[in-house]
Amino acid sequence: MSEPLGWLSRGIQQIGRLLEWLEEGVLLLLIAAMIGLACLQIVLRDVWGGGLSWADPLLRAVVATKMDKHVSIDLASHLVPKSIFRWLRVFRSFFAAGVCVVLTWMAIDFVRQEALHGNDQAMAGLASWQLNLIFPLAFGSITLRFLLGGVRSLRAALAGKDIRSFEATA
Amino acid sequence: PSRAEAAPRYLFKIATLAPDGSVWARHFQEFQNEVIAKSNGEIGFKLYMGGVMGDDRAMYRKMRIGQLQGGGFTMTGISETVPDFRVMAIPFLFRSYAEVDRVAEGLFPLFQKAFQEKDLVLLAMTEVGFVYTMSSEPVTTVAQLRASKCWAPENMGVTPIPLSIPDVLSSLQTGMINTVFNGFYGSIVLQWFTRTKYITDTPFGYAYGGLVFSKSAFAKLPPQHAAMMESAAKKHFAGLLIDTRRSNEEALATLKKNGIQLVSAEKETLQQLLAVRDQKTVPRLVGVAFSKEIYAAATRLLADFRAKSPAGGAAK
Amino acid sequence: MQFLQLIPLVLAILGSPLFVVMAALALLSFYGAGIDPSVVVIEMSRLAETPMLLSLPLFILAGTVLSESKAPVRLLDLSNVLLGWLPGGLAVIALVVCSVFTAFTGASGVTIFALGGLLFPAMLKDRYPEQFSLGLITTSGSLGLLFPPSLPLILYGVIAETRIDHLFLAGILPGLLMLLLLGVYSIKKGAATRGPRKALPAGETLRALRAAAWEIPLPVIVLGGIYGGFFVVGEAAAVTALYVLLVEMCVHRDITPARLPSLVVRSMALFGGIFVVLAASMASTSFLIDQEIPARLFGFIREHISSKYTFLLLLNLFLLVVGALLDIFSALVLVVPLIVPIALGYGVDLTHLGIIFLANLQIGYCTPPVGLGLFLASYRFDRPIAQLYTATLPFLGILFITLGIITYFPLLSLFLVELFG
Ligand code: NA
Ligand code: NA
Repeated sequence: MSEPLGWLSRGIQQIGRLLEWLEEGVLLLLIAAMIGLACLQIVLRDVWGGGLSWADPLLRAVVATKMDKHVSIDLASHLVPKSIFRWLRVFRSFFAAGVCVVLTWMAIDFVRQEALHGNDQAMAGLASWQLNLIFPLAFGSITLRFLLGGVRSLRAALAGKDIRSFEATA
Repeated sequence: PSRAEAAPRYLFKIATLAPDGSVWARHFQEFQNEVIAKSNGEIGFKLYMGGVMGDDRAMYRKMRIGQLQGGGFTMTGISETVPDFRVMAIPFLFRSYAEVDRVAEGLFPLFQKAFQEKDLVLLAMTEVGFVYTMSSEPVTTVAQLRASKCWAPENMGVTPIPLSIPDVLSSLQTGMINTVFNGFYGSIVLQWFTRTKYITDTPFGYAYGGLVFSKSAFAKLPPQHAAMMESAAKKHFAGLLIDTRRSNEEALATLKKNGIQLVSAEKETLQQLLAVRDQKTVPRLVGVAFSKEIYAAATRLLADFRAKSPAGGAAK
Repeated sequence: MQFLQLIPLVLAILGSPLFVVMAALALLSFYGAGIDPSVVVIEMSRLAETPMLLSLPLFILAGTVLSESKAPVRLLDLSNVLLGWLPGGLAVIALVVCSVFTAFTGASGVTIFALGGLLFPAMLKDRYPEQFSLGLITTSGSLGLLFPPSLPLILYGVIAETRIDHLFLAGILPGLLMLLLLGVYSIKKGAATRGPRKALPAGETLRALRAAAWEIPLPVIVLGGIYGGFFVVGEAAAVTALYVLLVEMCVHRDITPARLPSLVVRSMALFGGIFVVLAASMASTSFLIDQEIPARLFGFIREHISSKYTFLLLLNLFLLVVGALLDIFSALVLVVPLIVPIALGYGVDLTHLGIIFLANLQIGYCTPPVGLGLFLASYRFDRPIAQLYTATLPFLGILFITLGIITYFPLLSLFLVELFG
């Protein structure tokens, strides 16, 4: 296996681990907040003037990527021989990364547009563009995950080995 | 004659929350037919009804990127972008549709300017009509209003229980809320009337909207086409207002037939509410929710009208 | 462009994540039509602003916690004690519980995720065949859509301007018929594969009841809370999650606090997976809407048929496809306004139409090859999608029979309406 590839992979893994730690912390806080606030809302019915902000579902998609648990049709893993399947996995990961790069870019454009024209008091004192920052952040993060997976499966394919899933070494 | 086959040079994709077959859709189609005919098919339309393009916010976003060229917006939705458009929604502002028409006519150029500044063109105003307090127990005093468990769309000046529209009916059924605000026609469409037996006969507020195009698309039109479209909008959407008011009247008759009672608010109740509005609500809104200038213009127009026709005071 | 759009489709078959495939299709399609592809993100942010979505993560968390605790064992014990004499008792319980749950959550994947995790292991433990259990739970994912206060039912009433209390009444008998037929099938199947059970001693009943005493009130709390006017569905999710966490962590102590973070992360990963699929599906649906494809498709149908019964037959076929391709809410919002005026022209009662409509969407939800429920179940139970295709077939057969009865015997839907409405 090539040295720069290994270096790149380790670098991405470091960032990946940091992101993971951040995500888990944020998720726990969010869940606590969702349960707490909703129950409080029942008790204090009309203290709240409007809905609460829940811009977090994309964060969870990032976790799903990490766990290699996306909904997919996957007939190939049963039909394709292992040697070809290794390369298919590489192709799949980089394709997904490519799509997510485009989505990230579109999301950045969307947030820019919201900052220029959007509602500056959307929810909980935050502007719409601030709430929607979740989209580029999440897609950026998913891209990174797919890249990480792509690099790992590329190394595995070059070495002629199989990998189980992203989480195996995470 | 073969204009139907040729692709229009200026295509306007228009979205609205109003469903297919509604009065809104009917009048828009008349407007569209006239514009297509008078432009010899150079102008074309695609109409997306029933909210398939999303709510007002999504529609505005799609206009920004050019997927849509226009939309029928509600005041609540588009005033996120053009705050001054909110001014006519101040509670208890109008007592009759005559007052509404006079003020709307006077404010229209100011609204148009405010829309222009956001790269939008306001072609016509539309309305839901007067919105009333509807409740399962009579609400005629401030104490009763305060004690009621009410739901209202935002910006109505009452502390509402946060609910999404589909939740309102089920919450009425379970008794989680017992008071809502809606127009006569709206309360039938949304079925809320099945759970509200009383309507307080003073309009709580006025609900309206507008036909809005994006400036970039509108600016591409040759001047004579643009002028033709503006006058066609004026003509057909004036007809829409008449029809909306008629369907509200018919809805009121239907409501009465279904055993719904109109109750009158006590005189001091109204005075108390007006005092709260003028001393607390309005000072908080002016300069924040809408500009001082537009508020001044609205109150001046209303005062002028009332001075000239003291008889036009009673609510419809 | 056509060629470029083939690439994601091939990759779908090769196992790329579905949201990547759908997002790629949407991006390419919008780009090809000369529309700024950032509309894809606009559609996604639209989904994030949907209030019903908020109840999903908390229901999923509650389901995950319940399934990781010993609740499935307690539930199984109880069902054995109470319905053990009946072959297929647990399967019948599963059907009833799932339909009650779906009535509240509206076939958004919650049933499969929250209850499936609990019922699937329980059924396997009770020696039901895996195929049967998978099929039952996948089909149950949308069962109950016809019972009040199902949100799609309310939504239909609003869009079609039909009395919602009438729809509530109209849904009851057709929904019960579905339950009855599926229940009979389950009992027959249970008798064949599991055989009769011997009765348990009386002391066992009390022990099992006492063990499950904290889990039994859960549906009562949720139903009572909503019908008593204490909270709405969104808040019921939070109450359920809080209650389940308290019971399993403090009362039964099945879940240690140290395990909580991993359970939260896992259930949120499940939800994230659903969210991106729904978001990407909204984006691709939005392209179809932009190109006015649903309207054109229906215009074509309208041109080529004359009789009411042919219309109803074709309507069923059309709705099955729609139900398999679109999520229930998009399907309602898109198709109801198109169909209502035409159905009125054929003399179809709008309340009856609503029940036909929802029955179709319910079946479409688990119809191969693309019914959303199949993907969700494949994802949740980690089984290949092809296995789910075959597992759901017998259940689909039964549902098709009920669909026929619902369509051609309007009285089944309208009887209670005429009696009480
Ligand atoms: Na779709
Ligand atoms: Na579906």
